[in-house]
Amino acid sequence: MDPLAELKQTFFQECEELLGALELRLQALDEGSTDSEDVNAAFRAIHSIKGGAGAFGCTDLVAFAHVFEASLDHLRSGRVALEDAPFALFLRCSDAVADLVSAARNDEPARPRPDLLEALEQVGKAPGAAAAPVAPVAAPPPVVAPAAPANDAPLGVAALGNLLAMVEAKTGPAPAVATGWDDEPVVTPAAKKPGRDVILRISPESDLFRRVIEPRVVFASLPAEDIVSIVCDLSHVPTLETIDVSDCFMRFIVTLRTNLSVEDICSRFDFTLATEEFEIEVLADAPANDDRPAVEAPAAASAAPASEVSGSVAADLSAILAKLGPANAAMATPDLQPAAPAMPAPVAAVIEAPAAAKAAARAPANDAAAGRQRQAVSVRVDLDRIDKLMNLVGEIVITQSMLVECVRSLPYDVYAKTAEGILTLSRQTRELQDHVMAVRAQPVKAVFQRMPRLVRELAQTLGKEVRLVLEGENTEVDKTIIEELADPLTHMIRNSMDHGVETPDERIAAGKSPEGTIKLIAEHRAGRIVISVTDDGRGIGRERLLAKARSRGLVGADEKLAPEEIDQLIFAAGLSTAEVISDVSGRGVGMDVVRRNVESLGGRISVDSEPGRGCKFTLALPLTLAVLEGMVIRCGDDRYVIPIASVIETQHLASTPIEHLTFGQEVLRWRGEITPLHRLGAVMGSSGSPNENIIIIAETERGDNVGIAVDEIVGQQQVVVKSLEGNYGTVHGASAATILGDGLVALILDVDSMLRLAATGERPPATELKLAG
Amino acid sequence: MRILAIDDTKTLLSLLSLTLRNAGHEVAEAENGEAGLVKFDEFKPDLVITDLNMPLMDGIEFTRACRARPAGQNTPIIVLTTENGAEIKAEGRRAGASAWMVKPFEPTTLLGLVARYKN
Repeated sequence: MDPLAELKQTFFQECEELLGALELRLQALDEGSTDSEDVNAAFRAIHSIKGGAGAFGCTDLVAFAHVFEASLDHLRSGRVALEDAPFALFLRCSDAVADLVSAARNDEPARPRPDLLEALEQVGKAPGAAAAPVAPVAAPPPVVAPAAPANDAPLGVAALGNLLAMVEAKTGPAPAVATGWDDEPVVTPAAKKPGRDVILRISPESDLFRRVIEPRVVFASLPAEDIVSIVCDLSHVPTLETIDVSDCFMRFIVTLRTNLSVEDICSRFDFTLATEEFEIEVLADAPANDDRPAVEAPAAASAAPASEVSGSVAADLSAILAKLGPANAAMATPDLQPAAPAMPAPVAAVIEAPAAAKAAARAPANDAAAGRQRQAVSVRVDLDRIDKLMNLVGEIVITQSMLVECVRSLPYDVYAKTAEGILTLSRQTRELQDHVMAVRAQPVKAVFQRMPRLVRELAQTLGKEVRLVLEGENTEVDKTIIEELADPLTHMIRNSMDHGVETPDERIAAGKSPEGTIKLIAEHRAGRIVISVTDDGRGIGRERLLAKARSRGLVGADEKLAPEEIDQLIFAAGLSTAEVISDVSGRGVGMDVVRRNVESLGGRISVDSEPGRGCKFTLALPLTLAVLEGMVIRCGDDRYVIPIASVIETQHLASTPIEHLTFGQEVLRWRGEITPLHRLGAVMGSSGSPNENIIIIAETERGDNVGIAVDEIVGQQQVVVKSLEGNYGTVHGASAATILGDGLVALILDVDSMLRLAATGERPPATELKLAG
Repeated sequence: MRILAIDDTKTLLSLLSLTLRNAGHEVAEAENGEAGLVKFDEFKPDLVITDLNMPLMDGIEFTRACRARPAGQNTPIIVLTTENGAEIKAEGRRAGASAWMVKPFEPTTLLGLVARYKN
């Protein structure tokens, strides 16, 4: 990939993060936050997006982001009060920006959003914001009285762009400037062209050179063809004995014949010269082809420098300077001197550059500093590299456990010495593994963040009112899992929005508040990440679902199903009970696909519904797809690995009283609770004759306990998870397989799946698998 | 020209040096002011382009520190930032910055500004 395209990709990645931050901050503000950092962070996010988009030429994105940014700036500057701000609009705009970003990313045409743009333009013009001190967008009149405090920001940006574009066009000092260093004015062809005569008096502060600004750089910012003459006034240069060569004592008088407005000229000196360092004097319009060289200027310049500073500007200026600290207060003094007497006749106006007056109330610098401190130092690493590292660590784990096996057969004296080293090695391997895992771990926030938008959009489409509550966003899970979460979560939420939550009218009729609630909760449980989507809607319509399943032949006509079993039909292929096929759900490729995908990851999805009260989808996935802490057990001739996180405790079978229920189910009393008991050998169809001695009490995803009878506990170790689906095929009761130290394959048990297998009686093809190992 | 580019946003930094390199400049990169000063001393640039808001040491502090050392007194420093407020600019001026350019930058525009400092 060429470097630019690569950068562009990185930019889009950054955009994702920025969009997340933007939405989060806007959400916080929408919910009543008054933290100025929320405003600033939102502003910075859209600003950065605009910045990058500009660099990569995404014009649509820039245009939209610019307007958006401008309205957010009204909040930042306090022109629009937080309580008056239309955050719902801003949130929709942030969605629109996300669309624009993805359009730019895929090189697709963007959907124009004139409605949003128009609404954004209204922000700050609303009656509520009428108290704003400055008209925010309107350009100042061409020649303004010096008193008017103008907002220089928009002007500055645009003008700077123009200025630099012009400089770029000629890339080099103007010819007039190159030779214009004598006392004699250099008259150029510019004098013959039409335009106004403008005289610039530039009196740089003595620190000009210390800022490494050469006068020619200053003049280069003016269009070369407009410069009539440049005169250097050396009258302020002190004697050789007293001169400090690093100070600038030169003053310049530049005569222009130009069509540039005064503002334009001001803005060309933006930053290079402070407002108090130059004056602009506009002489009368010169008619075209006027041969009169515009050289009255130097004469006028010899008059006392006129500096009309109105009271209000002076007050603003001193306020700003006072704010900047006492050390700088001195700077203001020369400008605050009373104005010199009247100017010579042709003077139309003397104008102050607009930059000085700016609402002193803003303190963005402080906020920026606070933001800086919060920034974490981080490195972007390609996921491939981490994956390679992870694979390698996996191989080391296997090698290490092989080594342990080998060492056991050594004579004792050799073994004793080696064992110590092996022990250290295994500890270090473990640490290495943990650290690599930590690198890959990410909070589920990345996925959760996308959901508020989904809910917002769906609510709008469906005409429902829904509040989304997020919990446990910081729950960390392996990167590989994060990527797999988005799809099922989207489906689960869509389902809840479409089928679960009722319309406001229906809710009121059912005695509920018109606004529905969807809770999205993530937590760690039993070594898995469990994410639940709970709504307070109408629950699953069991009769309709069952009728549909019957009509599709999924359930026999006289087959009786328990309510919970009916609920599970929602995961059956091709069932959608939505009466109207909406664009939200109802294409019948919903939950069954979700379940298949989730299960292929060794995860599970289940649903609990309470008619009229709501519905809860629970998604459980392993924390990582890479390694697993497991208990190695034996049953008959086969060994299995049961995730240690599922194991609650173990006990001897002989000391445990077993009872038989009428339909053959064995149960045991465990800590006073009736707990079902399954014999692993029988369930999984192990080869050899099982001789169960041990009961393992394990926990299921739903939090129930179950006893599993096995022959022997072999040990506990970390195993590297090898996918069965990818390498072999689905094995009921097992989520994956691993390679043990002796090089043989063992199944990694999945307690819930095993229980389902026990209930249905399907056998896994275990024998073939052993041959494969 | 030998140009030192300082920005904590990796993308923009890379984009900046790519732009400059394509125009035939020799570029050194640094990700904050502190790293920038180290680079300044070893790379001895003819021109510095620095971001403003950066961790560890921001653009203003960098400019100040740069102007405080003999080698840094004659090197033009262009501030390339998203900030455009009068106050922050005044602070930049006092620190000794030579020019101020507001992000996002147009490559040709930036190169035009840089060209002004040639020779």
